Amino acid sequence: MVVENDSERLLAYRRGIIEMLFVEGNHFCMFCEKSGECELQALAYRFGITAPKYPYLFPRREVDASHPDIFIDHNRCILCARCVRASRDLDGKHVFGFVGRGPEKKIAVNAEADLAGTNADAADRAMEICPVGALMRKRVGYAVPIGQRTYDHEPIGSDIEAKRASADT
Amino acid sequence: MSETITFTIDGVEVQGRPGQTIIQAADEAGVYIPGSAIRRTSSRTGRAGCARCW
Repeated sequence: MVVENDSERLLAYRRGIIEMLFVEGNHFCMFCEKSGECELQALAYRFGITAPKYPYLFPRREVDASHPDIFIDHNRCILCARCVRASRDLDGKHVFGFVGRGPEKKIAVNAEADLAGTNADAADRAMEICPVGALMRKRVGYAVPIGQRTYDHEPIGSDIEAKRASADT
Repeated sequence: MSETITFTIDGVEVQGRPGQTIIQAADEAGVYIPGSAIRRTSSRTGRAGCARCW
């Protein structure tokens, strides 16, 4: 079996998808505390996306800061479902789920009203797996300064590609 | 579990195990396939969200 991955055609599709992820949310890297640790930002850098060719949608999205230790910023959510799976499979809690369809689809919490009504905890595995700045812990922002973060040092995917480099030598 | 599945990705020969996804096998072999949704949770349920990894 032959798998095609690093081809011009696939790269063009991927760039388009990454651009769509940017324009359908509100991703302002310059004042996002996830900058440098964000997989979406890192992918854009890796694939050379400086500005999307699609128009920004500027959707109105909510921020749920009701919980004392964590918050959800729906502006930055790319609907990857990592928190849904991590809360269910790793934490055994079912804190997160999806509601709505199409452009209305969003992460919902397992409570009457908001995150404060759930049994989510800052120590949950679900809190550390968000690829963007949508699900964040409070009071730890900028603990690592901008410029000293994971993707400030090397492009996303470098850790994986390093395995091959060491195998080749 | 000595059974392996051999495939080629970007010209690199990769050994996968039954039950692994192509992305998991590629990760182990050092070939990066972009995608966030399919990583860092559990292998049982990891699957594509936005299709970036396709």
